[in-house]
Amino acid sequence: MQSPVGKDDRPLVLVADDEPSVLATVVPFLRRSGFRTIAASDGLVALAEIARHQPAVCVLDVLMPGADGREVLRRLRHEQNWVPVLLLTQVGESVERAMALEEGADDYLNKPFDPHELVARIRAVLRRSGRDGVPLANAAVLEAAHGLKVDRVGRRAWLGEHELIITPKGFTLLEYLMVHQDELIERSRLLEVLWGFEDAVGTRAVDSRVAELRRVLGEDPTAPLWIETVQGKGYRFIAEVRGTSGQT
Amino acid sequence: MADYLVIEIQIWLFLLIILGLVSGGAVGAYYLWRHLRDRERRIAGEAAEEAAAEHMVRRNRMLIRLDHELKNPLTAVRTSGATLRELVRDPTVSPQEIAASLDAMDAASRRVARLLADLRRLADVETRSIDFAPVDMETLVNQAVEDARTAPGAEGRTIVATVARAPWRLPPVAGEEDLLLSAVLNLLSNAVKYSGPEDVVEVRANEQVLGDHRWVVVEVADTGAGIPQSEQRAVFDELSRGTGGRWNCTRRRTWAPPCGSSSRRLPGLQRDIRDLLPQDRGRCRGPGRRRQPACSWARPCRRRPSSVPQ
Repeated sequence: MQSPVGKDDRPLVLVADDEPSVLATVVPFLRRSGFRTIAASDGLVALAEIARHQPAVCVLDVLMPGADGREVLRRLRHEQNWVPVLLLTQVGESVERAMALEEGADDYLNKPFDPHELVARIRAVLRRSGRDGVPLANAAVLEAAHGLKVDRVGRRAWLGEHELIITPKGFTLLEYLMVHQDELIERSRLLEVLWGFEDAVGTRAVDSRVAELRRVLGEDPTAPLWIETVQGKGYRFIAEVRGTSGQT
Repeated sequence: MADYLVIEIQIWLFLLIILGLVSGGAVGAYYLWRHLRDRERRIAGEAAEEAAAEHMVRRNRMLIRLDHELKNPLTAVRTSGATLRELVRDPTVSPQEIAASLDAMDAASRRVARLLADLRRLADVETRSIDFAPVDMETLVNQAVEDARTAPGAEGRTIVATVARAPWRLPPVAGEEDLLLSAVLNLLSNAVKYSGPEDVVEVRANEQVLGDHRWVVVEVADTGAGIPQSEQRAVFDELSRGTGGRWNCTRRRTWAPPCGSSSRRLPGLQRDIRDLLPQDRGRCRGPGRRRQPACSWARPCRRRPSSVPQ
């Protein structure tokens, strides 16, 4: 069930999926990509393995016997365990996606995924989890440089003392970009996250939401303080972000 | 004259009243008939709408399940493909590593092929007539257990069949043998999927009198994790997780649902599913093969009297 753990600096990734064919292919791929791995065939085994080995990242399938991926995530967060979690969700389940992010998953991927994408997401999650303070994915309040503050629970945002009026989609976009600070997020990914579209059926919707955020923030796209455009690809939130629990 | 006139007026009035009553009755009867017709149409329309909505819900559920059943083998295929792409660039890779990825890809593609075969079968079973013939359930159950024991993933499990022989052997069941085998095998696969290497899977077949009818009851039970309560409702649906399409196909068409399937619920988890198969007696029994549409089979099955000799 487990590859050699021993003294090794490579990050330890737990993959939990009840599907043997997924474990049999994804686990060796992750190993070849430079990770140590633990495989778990159901949610309860995953919880036990997490307690035993404290992996750097967990990749959990949503549908599993014993305890499903979301249940494992809930139990971890309930125990104040902030290990980064990447959920493997069902295609087309926009509710599931929203719930995954709201319940404290650091990211999610739809099956069938490109394994390189999985590796990229694991690395991104590992980079983010290296910071001090509350992990961004689980922080109630996100504070960015230049006075931008987002209350994720109250769904409100401020720039300095001034409260920003943002549409719900715009707010979710801002929140997603801030949580994934310093990552290039492709337009197609944003489209999938915010609108639930699997294919790039046109990314104008994303661009108009980014334009809305820039207008609200009073940002100059040629000299951005927060949201940088990566030509032909997507967007990156460039300002430093700090997560807090929101309790003063 | 006055009398005559009075009488004439009375006849005229009487005729008018009769005519009025007849006309009123006719109009009333017409409106009553129209009301009843409209009500019947409305009820039929509502029933058709309900059936269409139900059909749409079932179709959508099946598409979601199809998506779910496809995503795992496709993930395995994509990952194996990506692994192979990297392996062929690496001169130090052993042939065993390449073979492992090829095997995984092969297994996943076979699973997709099986799923497509299930879909084909589903379409086929929906439309064609069933070849009803007496099926010996003892042979069938033993065959299913034999197949399940050698299936990949069944290693370590103890799979046993208990078929009642006393006080008499199980009577034959009317059905199509390969569909019945498929149904039992599918339940067994499900039990294997939801159990571990040390678990026990039991297939029990016996004769029971339930209600006014006599049945051959086939039960599949295991000591495994069980099916969560949230998934129990969907377990008989087409392409449902674990149980797959073959079970549903055979359930729906090999015998009629009201008399054909049942499940025993345990608190929280379901570990026991049983098929109720009408015995091959009465209308469905015959010396040779009898071909008739599944729906016409359902009716005699439901109404079969309890006076079958013990």
